[in-house]
Amino acid sequence: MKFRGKMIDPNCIKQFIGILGCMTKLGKSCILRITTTDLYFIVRESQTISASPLIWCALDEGHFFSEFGMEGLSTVDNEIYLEFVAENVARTLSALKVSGTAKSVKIKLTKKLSSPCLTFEIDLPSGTNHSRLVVHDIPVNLVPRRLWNDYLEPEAMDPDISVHMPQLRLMKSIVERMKNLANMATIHVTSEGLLTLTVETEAVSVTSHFDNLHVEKKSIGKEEEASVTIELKRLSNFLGHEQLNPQKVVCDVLQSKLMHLNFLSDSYTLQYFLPGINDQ
Amino acid sequence: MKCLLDATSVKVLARAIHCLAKIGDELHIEPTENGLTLKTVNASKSAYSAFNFHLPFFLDFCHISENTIQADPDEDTVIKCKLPMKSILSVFRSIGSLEKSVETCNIMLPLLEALLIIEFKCKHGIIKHFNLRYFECESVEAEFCKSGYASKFSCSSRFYSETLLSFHSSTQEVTWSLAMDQVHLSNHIDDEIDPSKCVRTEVTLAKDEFVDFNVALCTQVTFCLKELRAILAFAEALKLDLDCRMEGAGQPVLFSLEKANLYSADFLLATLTPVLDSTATSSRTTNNQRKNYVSTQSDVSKHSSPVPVLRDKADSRTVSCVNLQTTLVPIVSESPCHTSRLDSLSLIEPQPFPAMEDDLDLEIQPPPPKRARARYIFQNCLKATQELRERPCEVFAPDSEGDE
Repeated sequence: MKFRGKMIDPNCIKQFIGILGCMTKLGKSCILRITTTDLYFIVRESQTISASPLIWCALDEGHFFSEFGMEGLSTVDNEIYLEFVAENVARTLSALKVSGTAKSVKIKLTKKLSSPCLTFEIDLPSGTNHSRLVVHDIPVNLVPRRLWNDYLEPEAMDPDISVHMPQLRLMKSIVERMKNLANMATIHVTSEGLLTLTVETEAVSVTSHFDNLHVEKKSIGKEEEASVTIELKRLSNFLGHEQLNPQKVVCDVLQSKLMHLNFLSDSYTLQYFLPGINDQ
Repeated sequence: MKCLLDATSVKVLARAIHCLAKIGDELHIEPTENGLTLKTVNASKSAYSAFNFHLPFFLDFCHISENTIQADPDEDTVIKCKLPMKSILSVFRSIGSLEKSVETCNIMLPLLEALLIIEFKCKHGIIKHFNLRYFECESVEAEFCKSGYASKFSCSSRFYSETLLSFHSSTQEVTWSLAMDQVHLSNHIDDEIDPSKCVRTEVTLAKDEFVDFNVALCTQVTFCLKELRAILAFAEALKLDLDCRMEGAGQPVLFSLEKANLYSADFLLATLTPVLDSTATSSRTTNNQRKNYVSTQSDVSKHSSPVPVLRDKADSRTVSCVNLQTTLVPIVSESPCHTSRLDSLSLIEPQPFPAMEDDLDLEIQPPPPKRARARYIFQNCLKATQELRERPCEVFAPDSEGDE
């Protein structure tokens, strides 16, 4: 198996590192799936109360990499699945952030010390026309073929109602405060473009209303509104990455079952499937 | 001793104290004819630093503590003392507020009172007066010769900082590999951890990036970053260049900086001893080396062969180094002496250890890592014979029922 990619555009580098950073904060280990056209980051968190949430991020390699080459497991299964420990990457990221000024970043799959690693080779400009080479080797595990089916692309869901999220920074600060009150909150979306977030404790109930949201889609024949109860901690973890600056974020709600957040941007998509909690 | 400093000098002094505070727990103050020297040694005795402030740094300086009651020129003494870092740091803690308000600073070591007196004359007529208790002591010395090092390179402190940015802040030790035209830095992974599970980072610096580069010996040197970061914090704030002198693996590294004829500083850092080829001796030597610096810090793996121990002879665990100590330098019993003279380094090769095997009891052997550490901790349980101690025959709580 081989993989080699090179990025030279500083914006792309920054964005890539940003997405990588986002992934590492969302779970303990992350799967990187490499195909001939895309890179996927998959984080499946371990179960807590309900079914596990899933984070699925797809990056178009053409946008990010100026040079890209890969050779998968076999000609039939021309893909590579790698698993890495999020903490390892998170620690290196602070060092990788330096590469904001990098001339180029090369990512390769290598074998060092007889175990596979993902090597980041960063070419930093320094002082007078010189370039400094910084190399980070992050140990990875190759995911065996039989487990590949665990990481299939989630099916496109048919939501009850789908709206554009309000400004993320605003949502983030509200969710942060609500997190202190209770673990769970109910999201309620109506077809008129109203989204409410409600938190209830014994003493108090707090609701935030966001209206005039653009309704992307609503299912005909179903209810005019939908709501789902979710874990606030996970939502706030995810909203923390609003610095990724997506072009739009769509929130799909499937009554009582699922909240789906979709960050859309021209070069990548990031989806977060938050399962609803049934405690009624 | 008494001296007077102006506002900018006070700031430099405060930064120097901050730097020393990150390295050691006690500050040694030694006034000399040429100025004031502040020194510290770190807890595991693997780093020595000294700041020398020359006469032009001060508005007024007198190294002698005069007898104010009876002026007696024969009795003039120079007081050398040490204080806990915490106390002096609390005086110079906030550089920002020192900058804003202090106009002059007066530091005195009077003969008759055992106090270090610091007086700040601040704006608006405010005077801040600090009395700090000190302990008298002999000086801490590290002898080293700047010109004796094989390799030397220097560049601005900012350059070093930028390089170190590539390493995560939790990296404790970095290995510097010197080659004729480049310096290669990599994070050092402890022997006990499987290196294939850790992230490895490497940075290569070309010769041209340095202001001055002269490598005579291609070698690899590993030392702790903590002290280097403290040094860089000082040097960067004052925009100074930092010289680095290295000899070889196991020999200490010398970092120095200076500002015209105002002040200069030297930092001697111990490096990791290289693992020898023969496994038997190597495990013992590295183990012995490791335990020279029984440190209160969690990172134990910092030792250097040539930096002899600043420990008293009573400590049986450092038997090996005590031998070295006696061959090297006559030591005043209380003072830790720290030599790294190049000609004496050959004495400090780890070879003596195998010969000492016969003498060493299980108890005296320094605790090596992993299993052997457990054996060391539970050594009493594993001993063949128990120590028979005479137990007192007095019965405090007799049986309430008689023996049957």
